[in-house]
Amino acid sequence: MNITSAQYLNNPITNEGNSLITAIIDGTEMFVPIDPANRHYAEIMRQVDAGTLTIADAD
Amino acid sequence: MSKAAELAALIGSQSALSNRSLIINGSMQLDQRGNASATNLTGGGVFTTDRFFGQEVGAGLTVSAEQSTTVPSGTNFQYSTKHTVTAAASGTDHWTRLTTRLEGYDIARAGLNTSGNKLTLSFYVQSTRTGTHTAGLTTGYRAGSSYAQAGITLTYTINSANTWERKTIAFDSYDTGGSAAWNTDNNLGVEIAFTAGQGTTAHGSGSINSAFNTWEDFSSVTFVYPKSTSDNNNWGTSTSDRFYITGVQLEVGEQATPFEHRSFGDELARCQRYYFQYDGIIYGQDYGGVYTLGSVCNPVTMRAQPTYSAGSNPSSFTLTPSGKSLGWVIQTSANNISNGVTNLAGNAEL
Repeated sequence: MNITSAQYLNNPITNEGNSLITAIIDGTEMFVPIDPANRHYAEIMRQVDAGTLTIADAD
Repeated sequence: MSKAAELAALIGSQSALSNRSLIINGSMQLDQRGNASATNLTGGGVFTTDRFFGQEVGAGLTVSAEQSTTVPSGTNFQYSTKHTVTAAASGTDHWTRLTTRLEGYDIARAGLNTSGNKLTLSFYVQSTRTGTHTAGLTTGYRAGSSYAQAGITLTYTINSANTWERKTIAFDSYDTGGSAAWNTDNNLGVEIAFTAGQGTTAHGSGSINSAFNTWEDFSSVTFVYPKSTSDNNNWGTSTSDRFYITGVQLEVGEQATPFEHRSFGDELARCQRYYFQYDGIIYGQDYGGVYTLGSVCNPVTMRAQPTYSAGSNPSSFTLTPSGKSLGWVIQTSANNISNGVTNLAGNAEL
């Protein structure tokens, strides 16, 4: 899984912070939920823990 | 033995006459991603036919995968999954495999963590290379950074090149001593992988023993699993190499039964628990000139909250899962219906 960028998003309606991650995964923009059972979220966090990926703050 | 006695014997030896197979899309009939043309594999894995993903690694090696209409004659299969070497490996570190993953909820009934139970894997395979080949099962990951797992590499023999053959492998359950190695929830229960080819130096540095057909524990995934035999070494070294598979079935018990064909709708719904793709356009409605909101109803309740992506305008929207059944398409500026999202896909694969 090639993840080239990741950024937290706030919920546009509730303005809840860091409710989602937008990431470019294998060349495709994806919207990844904060769910440890989601394979993309798990891989993002694995790469963050390994120091090979940083999740940018929400705008 | 009378037909009635044969039926009684079958009932006595198997857990069910229907829903026998734990594999989803074992007939390779679903290809929601629409990869009707060949797609190049990567080391991280590329889903081809639903629920199956292919991986390839190796200097010089390029392998494509696709749904194929090449099937074993007389079986009523319509599709297989085909792997084609389009650029040959230049070294010995190459490997290519096809994998499917089963959810813990679905494998719980197999009693894999209780000694004395049996499971049987059957499939149709065709390869350009003959000899002893391998398939493997691994348990789901435990939580945490140390991927404590157990696995078993199974062997089978391809007798004739470029010829469909049905293979059956029975294996024992594995008591992990009450540990969490067997997930029985919505996480990864078991992974089943078929080796198409594997070079002599592709094993990596994991601390595993060399035995086949026996369970082994390992504490890290720094190697390629399943292991290979010398007969696997050369697949991938020629652009003539092909590997087809279909009719994959995993059953509780020690007897392989004929492949259980399911209805297209039944199989589709099972696949959509892990991945779906709409073929239409989702529009939103303007709310007070502040934002535009459209709803997403996942076709079935998914395994986990899905990752959403879209075929058009993804950057203009926020595609927000709201649990395993619903989601929202949100645009923060009012743009009522003028701008839709096409081919929205939800992904909750293991």
